[in-house]
Parts: sequence; structure tokens; C-alpha cells
Amino acid sequence: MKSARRSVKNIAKNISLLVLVALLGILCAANWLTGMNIAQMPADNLLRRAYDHLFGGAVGYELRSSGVAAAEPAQLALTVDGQLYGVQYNLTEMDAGVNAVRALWAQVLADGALEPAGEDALTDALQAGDCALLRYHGSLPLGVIAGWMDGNWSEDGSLLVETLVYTAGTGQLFVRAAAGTLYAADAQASGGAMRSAQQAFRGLPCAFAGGQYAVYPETLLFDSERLSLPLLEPRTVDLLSVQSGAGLEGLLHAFGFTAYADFYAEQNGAARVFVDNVSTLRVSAQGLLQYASSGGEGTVRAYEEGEVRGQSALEAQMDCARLILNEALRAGETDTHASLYAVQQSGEQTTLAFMQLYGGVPVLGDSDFATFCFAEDGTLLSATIRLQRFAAREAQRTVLPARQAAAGASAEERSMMVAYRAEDSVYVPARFYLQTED
Amino acid sequence: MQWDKVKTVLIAILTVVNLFLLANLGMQFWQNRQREAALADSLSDLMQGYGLTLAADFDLPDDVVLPELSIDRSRPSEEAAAAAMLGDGMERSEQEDGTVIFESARGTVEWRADGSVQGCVSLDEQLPEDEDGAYRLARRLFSDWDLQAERAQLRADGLRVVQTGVVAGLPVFNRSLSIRFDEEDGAIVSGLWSFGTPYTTVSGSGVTCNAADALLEFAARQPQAGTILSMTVGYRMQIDSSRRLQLTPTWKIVTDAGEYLVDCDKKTVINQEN
Repeated sequence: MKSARRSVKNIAKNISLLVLVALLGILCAANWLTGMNIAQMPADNLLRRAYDHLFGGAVGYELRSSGVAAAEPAQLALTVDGQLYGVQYNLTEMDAGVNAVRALWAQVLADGALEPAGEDALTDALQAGDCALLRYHGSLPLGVIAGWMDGNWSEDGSLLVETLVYTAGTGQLFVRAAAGTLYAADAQASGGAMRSAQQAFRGLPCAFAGGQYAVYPETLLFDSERLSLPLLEPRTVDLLSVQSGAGLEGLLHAFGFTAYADFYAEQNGAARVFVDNVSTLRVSAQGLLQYASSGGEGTVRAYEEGEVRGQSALEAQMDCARLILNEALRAGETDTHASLYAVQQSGEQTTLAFMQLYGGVPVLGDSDFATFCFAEDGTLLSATIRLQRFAAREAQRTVLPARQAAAGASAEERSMMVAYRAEDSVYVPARFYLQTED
Repeated sequence: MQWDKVKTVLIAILTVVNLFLLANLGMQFWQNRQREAALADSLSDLMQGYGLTLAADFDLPDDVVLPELSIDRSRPSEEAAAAAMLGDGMERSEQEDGTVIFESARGTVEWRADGSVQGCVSLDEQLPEDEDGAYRLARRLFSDWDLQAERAQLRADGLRVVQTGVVAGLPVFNRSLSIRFDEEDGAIVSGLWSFGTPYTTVSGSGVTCNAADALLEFAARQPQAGTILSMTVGYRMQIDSSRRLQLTPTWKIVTDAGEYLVDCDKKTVINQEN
């Protein structure tokens, strides 16, 4: 009897121990969770996703490795039914074109080993079957471009490239690097992706220059090209006018200041300098914005130190710069767009340079339209933005067709671009040769 | 015997630790409740200072962190919807600003880069004569035209039917499509719409939507409202300067004078829908 009672007591103690241990685990987890700010966790964290599902956060959205592209392509081309079609220097057509070919490029840009390649290999590959081309206004990291196209290129991802050509006939990806060097890697896209892209892509008939001219073989020459663009007149920007109040508030917010930030006026009220303990923002009524932070601290951070590194850090810096530029362009009520064209990483700093586009055509000035300098820990060290407004004149200028320009190119002039440049206080479109150091 | 004593000691220790943890947890909940109650009282006083009152059943929503989302414009989906509306022989033209116009003998549909749509389509079937008929026909047309929304809600007002829905599980306050039936024009479609799944990036940060902050900012700027009835968190759809569609976290504040949107991040009152 005593033994049975002891046995029951023992079982009860064992059960109590198990229950208490389980309860200890639950209470520890509950205490730990209440002390955490789950809502501030990154969106790819499982705990955060579970929290959102349970407590009414946003659900059912995609997480992409890279965000909205900070750069607009200058040219896109794709072979459809044996004929090459392309779009160039038009934001609307470019948006539609990128949407059409994104899935194709996502498959092509799925990592590979780049090897130096010869111009002849590219010329032959261009004639071997269907091709796709993607060209940017400047040289950008291959890994970042891959991210924008929903692809992933980790090896040689920091290689700065301007043009990408996929030749389905030879199953190769050719990339033109910043100094004009050509690299190739094996690449393969499915027939379905190519067919879908071909069905959705719309453009004008064109051809590759191949080996006929001094320009690079992948240069697009449009049939009966007639690129007529309006002349642009600069118009006054007034960032400090009463009507720009909301825009200025948004701009200050983008740089981490509030509308109530301390400021002092300069140049008889033509500029205001906003200051806080660690940073300064100088806003000129005419559109010049200069931001500087002191001592490695600042009001703007692309990411928290140690949160991301490598390419993810660069992408976060690009996103940060792009969002600030969006606010600046909105505040200036310009009808231009910003496009990344240069990335320079030296030591512990990264400098991003943006150009402005009017309807997809670069508008070049004496200085860069916008530059952002980030520290390795994600702090924005300095930024300069030169906002401009333009009004299109009725008069239009027809740009020299690429075929004629290619025929007149010399051995050093291997690449061309169309851009606006100032001539007697009017911005005039023209085609320029870009000299390359071979 | 020894094990028996060890178990007893362990049970005692675990009980004490569990009680401590439970008390700690309870204390945190109690403090939160106290804080919420104090906040509600302070908020009510501050609102009265602005000449506003909180409705008796007003419940201050919990703070939430929402990601800023992007949506890619889908020209194929726009074209598919237009083709379903306009039938065979549809022609497509695109303007410089990204507006795409579809035309056929049955009518016209125009999609803009900011997601707004305008259309006028003649219908084969008999036009509805009352609200119920309009509701049923609109529901079928939205389905046939592939313009259905996730968790769609249809609201009929005479011969005009408005469809709203959720994106990423939350309402998008300015995203709606309406069909108005008209004897002369057939079905007139208008609104702001998007296709596909929104996305954010791994490094994308969230926006803290603080209900009390938004309410105070609203009170400071909108003195014409008298009573705050409710507030809901969601998104509003807008186009950024790079012509990308963005879903921006936004509060909708319903008052006796109308509905207002307040940007969660900037705390600015966006617009007014009376």
C-alpha cells in the first residue's frame, strides 16, 4: 500500500517536473519575445513574417534580393523572328522593354565564370542566332545589374560593365567592361523565356554593327533612324518658395531633418543651411543641395553597421541614394529622372554618381548631376544634387543616325551616346563618341 | 529516496523561477495596459484642446511597422484586361507619358503609368435597371475582364458599382475600380488599379505607423472635423518620380466630416475624401 502510494507520488512529481520545465521554456520564450522589437526586424526574418501574420501586418508580398533599379538602360534589343528589334533613349519604351525581357535576363544572369574574350568571338556569336542586348549609360557592377533583373551573379559581381549581350546560338553571355575589355561566360536561357520575351517585346528594326565599322560589334544601328528631340531651355527652380513648402519638408525628411530643424539664411535668403549636431544641409533656392555629416556620424544611414555587407551593402546604398533623389526631384518639381551611371569603391568609401535624364536622354553638365558618398558602415558622408528644370522648345533637333556616326568613327571612338549639352544657354541633343583606352 | 528529495527541490526551484517569470510577464502586460490607458486619456485631452472628440467606441489601433512596397506595372495584364473588354480587332497605341490606349469598335480603354484607368465599353447584354442588377452585372464583368481583387468588396450606389480589395493583406485606400452603367455609353470604367504581387527588398526598411502621432498631427491640421470615429492602417498607391508604383503606409482617419489619409512616415495629411 505504502509502495503504491509512493509510486503515485513519484509519478505526480515526474509529471510536475515535466510541466514545470515546459512552462519554464514557454515563459522564457514569452519574456524574450516581449523584450524584442519584432516589428523592426528585417522583412526576411521568419519571426517577423509570423508576427505579421498574427498581428495584422503586411503579408503576401515578395522579397527581392535587389530593389528598384537605380539606373535606366540606354538601349535594349532582342531578336524576334530572325530580325533584331531595339528601343533606345525613351523611358516609356524602356520600361515596357525591361518588363518584357526581365525573365529572360534573370535566367541568363544566373552566375557563371567570366573569361576574357576576343572581338571576333563576339562578332561571330552575334550572327549565330537569337540575341538580346542590355546597355546602360555608364559602367555598373554586374552583380547589381543581375539583381535588378531578378538574376544572381556573385562571382565577379563587382566587375563594372556597360553592355551585356546574350547570344542564344552559342549559349554565351558577353559583357563589355568599363575599359572596353570584353568578357564571356557560358549562359543559358530556356526556350520558353526567350519566346515569352519575344512575344512581349516591341521595338524598331535594327542591326548590330558587327565588324563593319570601327565601333564595338554590339553597337546598335537602327534602320532609317530619325531621333528628333526638342531643344531644352533651363527654367528657374525655387526650392524655398512658399508653394514648395511640402516638397522642402519631404526633402528635409529624406536627409533626416525635420521641418522644425534649426537653420540660418545665407546669400540674402537665397540659401538656407539646416544644421543639427552631426550634419549640415545647405539648400540653395536655385536647386543646389549640399549635405555633409561630421565624424563618421550622420542623420542618414543606408543600413545599420554590420547588418549587411558586400553587394547587399552597395544595393542598400543605391536604394538610399535613389530615395533621396526621388524626394529632391519631387521638391524641385523637375520633370527629369535620375539614373546611376558610375560606382566607385575606394578603401572604406563608396561614391555613387547619377546623371539626369530628360525623357530618357541624358542631360550633361559641367559637373555630375548628383553624387553620394557613403562610409562602409552605411552612413551618408556627403551628397551633392544639382536640380534643374527644363522646358522643351517647339523646335526639334534630329540627332545624327548611329549608322552614319559609326561610319565616321575612328579607331579610338568605339562607343557612342546621345545626350543633351549646353550651347549658349540652351541644351541641344547630339550624338557623341566616347573614347576608350584600348 | 535521494532522487525523491532531488525532485522535490527541483520542483520548488522551477516553481519559484516560473512564478518570477510569470510575474515579470504580468508586470510588463500591466505596464503596457497602464501606458495605453494613460495614452488614451492624454490623447483625449489633447484632442479636446484642438476642438475634437473621440467617439465613444473609438479604439486607438496598435502601432505597426509596415514595409514600403513596390509594384511593377504590368502591360501584359493591362492588355489582357483591355482585350477582354474590347473584344476582337483591338488596336493599341502608346503615348510619350506611358499612357496606353486600346480601341476597338466596342469602345476605348486607357491605362496610365500611375495605374489610373478610364474606359467606355458597349455591352452585348441588357443594361441593369436597378441597384441589385448593377451589382450582379458588375461582379460578373470584373470577373470576365480579369479585374478581380483579393478579398474584393463591391458597393453599389444606384447604377454605379465600386470594387475595392486588399494588397499584401491590407487595404489600399485610393485603389478602387468603378463601373457605371449608362444607357448611351454602356459601361464606363474608371479608377486606380494595379496588377501582380507587390514586393520589397531584403534590405528594405519598414515604416513605423504610430496611431497617436498620426492622430495628433491630423488634429493639428484639420480643425474642421468634430469627432474622430475610427482609424485604420493600410496603404495608398502613388507613383514616384521614377514612375514606379509605390505602396506607402498610410492611416485612414474617419471623422464626422469625412475621411482623411495621413502618411505614416511623414505624418502629413494627404487628401480628403468627403
